[in-house]
Amino acid sequence: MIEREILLYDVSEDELNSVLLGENVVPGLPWYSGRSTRSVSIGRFGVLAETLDRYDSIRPTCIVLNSEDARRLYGRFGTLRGDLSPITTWCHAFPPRMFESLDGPVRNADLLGLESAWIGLIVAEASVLANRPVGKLTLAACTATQSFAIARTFALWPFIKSSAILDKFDAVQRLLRTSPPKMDQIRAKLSLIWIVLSSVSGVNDAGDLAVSTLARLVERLKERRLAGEADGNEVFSALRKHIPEIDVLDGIEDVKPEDRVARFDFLVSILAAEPSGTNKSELICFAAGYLATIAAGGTPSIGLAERISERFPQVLLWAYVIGSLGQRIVWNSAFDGLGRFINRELSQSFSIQEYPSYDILADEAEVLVDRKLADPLVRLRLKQQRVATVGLFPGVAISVPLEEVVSAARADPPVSRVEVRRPTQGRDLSDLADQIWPLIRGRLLAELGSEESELAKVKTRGKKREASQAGLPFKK
Amino acid sequence: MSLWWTARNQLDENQIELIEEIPLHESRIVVGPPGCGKTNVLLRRAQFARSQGLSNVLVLSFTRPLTEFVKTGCYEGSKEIFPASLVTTVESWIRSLYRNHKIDLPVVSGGGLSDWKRALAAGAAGLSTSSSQPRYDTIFVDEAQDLFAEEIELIKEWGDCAFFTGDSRQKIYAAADGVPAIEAVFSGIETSELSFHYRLAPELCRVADKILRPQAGASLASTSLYTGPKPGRAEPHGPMSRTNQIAQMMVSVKNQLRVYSTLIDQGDRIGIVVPERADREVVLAAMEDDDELGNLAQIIRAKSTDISDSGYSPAFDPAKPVSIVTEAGSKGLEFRAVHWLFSDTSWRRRSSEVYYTVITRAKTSIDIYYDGVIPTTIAQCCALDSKDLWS
Repeated sequence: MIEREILLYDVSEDELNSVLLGENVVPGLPWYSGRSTRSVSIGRFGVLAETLDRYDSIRPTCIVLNSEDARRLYGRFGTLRGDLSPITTWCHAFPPRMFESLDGPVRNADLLGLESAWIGLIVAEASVLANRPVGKLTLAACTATQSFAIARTFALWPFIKSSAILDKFDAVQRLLRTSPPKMDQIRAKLSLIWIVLSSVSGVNDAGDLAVSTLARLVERLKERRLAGEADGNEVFSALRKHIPEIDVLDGIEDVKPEDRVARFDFLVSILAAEPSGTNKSELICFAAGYLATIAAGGTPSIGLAERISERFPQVLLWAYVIGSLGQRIVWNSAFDGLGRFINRELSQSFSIQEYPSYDILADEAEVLVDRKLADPLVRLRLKQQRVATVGLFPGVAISVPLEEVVSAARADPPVSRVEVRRPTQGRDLSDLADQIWPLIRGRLLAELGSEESELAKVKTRGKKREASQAGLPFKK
Repeated sequence: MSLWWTARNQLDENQIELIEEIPLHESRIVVGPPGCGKTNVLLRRAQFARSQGLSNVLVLSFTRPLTEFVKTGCYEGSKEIFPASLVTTVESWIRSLYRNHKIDLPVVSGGGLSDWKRALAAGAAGLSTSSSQPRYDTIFVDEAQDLFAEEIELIKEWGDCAFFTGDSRQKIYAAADGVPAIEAVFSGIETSELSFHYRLAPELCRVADKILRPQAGASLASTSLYTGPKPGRAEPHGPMSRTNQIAQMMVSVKNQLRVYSTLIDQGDRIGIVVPERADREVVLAAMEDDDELGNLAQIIRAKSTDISDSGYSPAFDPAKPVSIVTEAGSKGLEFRAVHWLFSDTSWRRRSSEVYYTVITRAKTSIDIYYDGVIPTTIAQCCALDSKDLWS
């Protein structure tokens, strides 16, 4: 395979037009990781391009631009350069700071041994949101979750805060969906788990008691399992000092499976008596989730957690996370084969030389979507009917279900006015016209004569304008 | 279909060798203890043979429940991965030979099931010589220990080769000729043994080992590689009335349906074993009357000659995870937990093989209920919980 040279161009807005067409109009500098793009100031752009020897031209792969310029550029291309718009369909777009964090053309996704736990959480969230059993979930439902957005972003860009990810996630939902799903309730339950998992990965500092206790437990369970050791009494002994009632779980490994149901019910009863959101209630949720993973004599009994998932969804969410901790092989047929597909989407590396894996970047979609249009998404030029893939950040693609009303608008060609006329109505109008024609004939012809001369003038101007359009839209 | 991280149906080296390394045109007997994966090996070898161009295969089993159980292995989720239409009972297959060759079924006056089966197979002998129906590339037979010599002859007549799996200790038909007859008909046939088993909890292995002596010194307990729910158990409950037996069983089943929900989603079932056919209806009626258990149980009938079963679909209903079967009908099936009701009924007529077979249907637990006196075999192999002794 021929290794292509990667060049970095520092261009003005005028030069950008040529470079994006693959023209080598200004000299580019060989790019290496860490080469600064600090020269990307307002009105200037960095363009990363690879050389195409055969044609003596370049292929732009990344554009580096300030947020102030981004909106203008996306809008201008959307309006004037339909041939290249949307830009982020075929070219990555980076803010300068993120671009400078690249340490090479390929960025590996790394969840630091927590891949399986994140996959479990994604499956659980999708299952709760779709109210469907795991066996009936689709990959798109999983990559549409908040947990997927968080995990994939953490894997590639660990410095991005979860609040920024969720802001962008919400913006995309509002933009592309006529009735964005209400995610507040589930988000409140998920956020603690995100914080715990990210703390274990070192992305966030463990804060309060619940987070620090749970992060320590998650870490220990992961390490034990990866080392091939049994869990032992790790979880319950660590939680006992915070939840004294938990001593009923002592010696659980010797309790027959049928009797473990009663222990689970007991935990749920003390959870029900505890105000939600307290440290204690969060820890009980974890304990109950853990118990659901070993209730069937050391094997999972997710049904126990599913039964209470409307009231205590975090028990089910924890069960999926804990049950997935420390799984080394993440490409097996877990979750009815869904697990490996989610893993592929989560763990694939990001290459600046490859085309984006999404239809459009969220920032550009925000500029191009126009809610006042019959099809608000028409300028996105999506070629998918039901699900769009949108990039929150470079390499982070989420699925967004498109509402049927939007899908229908995009699917059906506009119906001409002629076609919508009903024949009977046409006949009625025709009869009416015949009747009034003798009365208005003289006046109408007089009016038409003056209009025809106006129309002729407009046509002439149009021709002139068309001829002058050839050099547009950009100056070379 | 795995809904969790634990991979299911993992095969060991011996099993893989039996599936793909033995020449496909070679006949073979595979023996092994309950839960060693015999049926899985049989079905996968049939699947492998078809993938290698030997598509005309037939998979035979004994009872309708067993056939339906084997058919559940033909699916991954709801997707068919091996044609379920190629799986049938020995008797159905022989009847089809009569039908296809337009011959009347034999008339057998008197005698039992064994006489009928022998006569049925003998009557179909020789049909292949003048038949337009092609021979099978391979005939696969599960639970071969219950074959009669006439049936084995017929299998040899119709199959280019045959692949048998069985376990003499799980023999249900006392008069069957079994593995020795196969060795006589298929002279020179090799026998392979699967030594390890994965299905039975060690607690159940120890009980089964007390019923039948271990073969060649290898006890079930010593060859167990069980990794399922723990702890396992075999517990007698009684004496108590039949009504109380059913009531106690239902309480336990409710908890088991909850605690084993994930395993049930993956295909596990709870089994209720009763001695007589009529008992099945009694148990089903009690369960149907219960708010939680109503519509979750299904009678699995054993033999096509069961007149009371006309119009009955033998397929396992995935929405009904509790199966009610007779002792004979439980042959070849497997359940996460078994409840053996009315075990003291007709216990003197019950052979050790039947005890062994019923107990080894359970993967994790078996609860054995009795009314009058605990059957001797049960008393000898299941210790009462010491805390119950002086209560």
